[in-house]
Amino acid sequence: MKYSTSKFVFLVICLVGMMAASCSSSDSNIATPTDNSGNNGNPNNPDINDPGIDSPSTSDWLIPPSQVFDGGPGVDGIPSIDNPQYNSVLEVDFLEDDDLVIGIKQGDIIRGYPHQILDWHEITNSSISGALPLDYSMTYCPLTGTALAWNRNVNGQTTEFGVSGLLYNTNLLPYDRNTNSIWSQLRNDCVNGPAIGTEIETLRIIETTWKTFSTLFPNAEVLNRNTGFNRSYGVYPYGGYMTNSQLLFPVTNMDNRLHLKERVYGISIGNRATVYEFDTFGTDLEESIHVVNDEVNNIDVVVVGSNYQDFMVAFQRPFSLEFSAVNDNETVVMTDNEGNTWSIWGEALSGPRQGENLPLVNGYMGYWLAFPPFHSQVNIFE
Amino acid sequence: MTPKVICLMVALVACNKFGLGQTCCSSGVPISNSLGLPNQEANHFQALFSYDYNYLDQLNTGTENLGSINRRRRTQSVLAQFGYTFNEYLSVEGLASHVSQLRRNTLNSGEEENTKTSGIGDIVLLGKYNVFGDELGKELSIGLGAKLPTGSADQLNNEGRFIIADLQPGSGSLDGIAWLRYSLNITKKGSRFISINPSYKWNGSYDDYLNNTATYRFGNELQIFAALNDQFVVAEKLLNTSIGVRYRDRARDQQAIATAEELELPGTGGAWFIAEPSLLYQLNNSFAILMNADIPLYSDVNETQLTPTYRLNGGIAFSIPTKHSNE
Repeated sequence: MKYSTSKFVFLVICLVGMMAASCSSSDSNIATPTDNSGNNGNPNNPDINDPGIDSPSTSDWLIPPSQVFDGGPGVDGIPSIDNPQYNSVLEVDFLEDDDLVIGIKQGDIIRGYPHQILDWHEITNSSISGALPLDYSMTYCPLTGTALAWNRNVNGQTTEFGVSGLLYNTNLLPYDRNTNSIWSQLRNDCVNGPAIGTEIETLRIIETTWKTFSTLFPNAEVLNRNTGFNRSYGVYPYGGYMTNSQLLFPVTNMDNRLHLKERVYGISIGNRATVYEFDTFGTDLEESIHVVNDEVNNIDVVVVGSNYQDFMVAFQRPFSLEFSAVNDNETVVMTDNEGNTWSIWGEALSGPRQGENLPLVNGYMGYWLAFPPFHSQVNIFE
Repeated sequence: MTPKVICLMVALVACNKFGLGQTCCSSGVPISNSLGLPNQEANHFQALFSYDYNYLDQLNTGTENLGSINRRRRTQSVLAQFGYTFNEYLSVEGLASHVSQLRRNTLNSGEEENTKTSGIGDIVLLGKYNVFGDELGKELSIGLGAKLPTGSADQLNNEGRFIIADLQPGSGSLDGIAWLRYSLNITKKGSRFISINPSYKWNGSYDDYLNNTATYRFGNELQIFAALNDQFVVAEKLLNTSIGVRYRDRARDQQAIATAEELELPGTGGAWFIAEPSLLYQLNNSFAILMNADIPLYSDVNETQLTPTYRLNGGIAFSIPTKHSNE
């Protein structure tokens, strides 16, 4: 039987369409995460019809397992940055003045980690070499707005942390790649797996705007967008979450004394915490720095911050030192009753204690919603 | 070949592709949306058994494709559709399914981590009314139906952890469906037809989500499927072919934690254009085998989400007169 030309063309289109769909594959020119161990499988072209490995069953948790939720992407579904690249402050052209950056200092090296990159990766595994080598992970949870830097040397071995895809009180639960143990970002300990009960060493960091960071640290290095992944950096992946009153996952204690997403600085000591609002440190129109000498759970602390410059950091107050703010100085933010001057990192720049560092407290910036679920008592400083 | 039989085959080709809508990241739950067995003579029983394979590994943000990532989704479904025509106007049909979902992540170590669910999906019931159908191949049918929450929506993984909503075989919600199909022979004595199938689904709420701490509602969905159909004779049997395009617009999912108000979820919902070629081979007046596929053409998703890469479907259909058939 002969067919018209149009019929023949129609049939060919149908057959080609069916073949095209059948032959579709997941090939991609986008770089896949580095396979550091080089064992098993082919991460660049996985066969989804292979049986794979089911998640191992573990029974011991330091947190209620019924309150651990699957966030959706699965293990490493949000890829950590394991080969970070940096630019100098002068080379950075992708940040606006109000974009938030997390800074860390080790020796003479200061690095900045922009929120707009960490929103997509949550964890960056970094190293600093030289006189004061350090292997660390910058962890950031977009759902609680909390950033903490962890020492990657755990139990005498250097590990890497990845995103487990699990959440506890809507907060990030990283996993370490040496033991596949699960850790709690805000508890700073291992809550499941072979390393259960191990506490992590946190490092001093500061969260502030790009404008403040680049002004205070013009010689810093800044994590750039050459992450090895194709993502829309600069586009917030969670819609209106940053400002609305929405939770994506349950928390054990929802406290409405403040707006759930108000950024505050919290000091966590034992099962108690005190949070400090930006209003305590001036208005958003005056550039001045302010200092609060306080006590949290019987520990003397000092909190130094500026509403206008958008930062708050805290340290222990040893020897009952009393601090006061210093303004109009590029490197000194406070002085004490002994005559020492101190940097924003808690380093004594001059005075009898020159060269000393104020001991850290477990303090971090975050949304208000992050603090009540992890503490039996949360005070709001007034 | 009478125009009515031609309409039958057109509809079979059209129906199996239509309505296999997908959520933002899977097709497990909305597999139950597959609707639209063809209108038949009175007292005819129809059945359609098919296997559906849906694969997702493309990460999109808005209209931008970010490529494939180390996280993939796969949904395999076995579908059974049954229908009965009472008279020239009224018919009913139902659809049941068994759905297997898989989320597979390739870890940095090269190992793969799986999360799986499997079980009976939601059942769909649809009542149809044939508004008109004439010997010239013009036909209009409308329908109303419901998707019943018969599938499990609270499966746990092997660590006892609740699995997210769009990885479950069922939705946990009672949904309403409105459906319409119009077809028209565009050649006076030929076999070339156009058809259009719009439908709308209103989704109810699943109130026991996340260990009874939340409610979840999939976004309401509009789908419009338009196709051009033609016929050929192959090995003395009819081969019906179809080229169609489906437009799918889905609102964001909504979730409420504790007693908070229902709020829209980021990374859900969007709009898609999908090309759908289809083949139906009529073995005889009662039996046919069919194959179809989804090829994404364009998408505009909310925020960032996995989006379908391709879908394949194949099955067998049959139609049996029960008694007092007019044929």
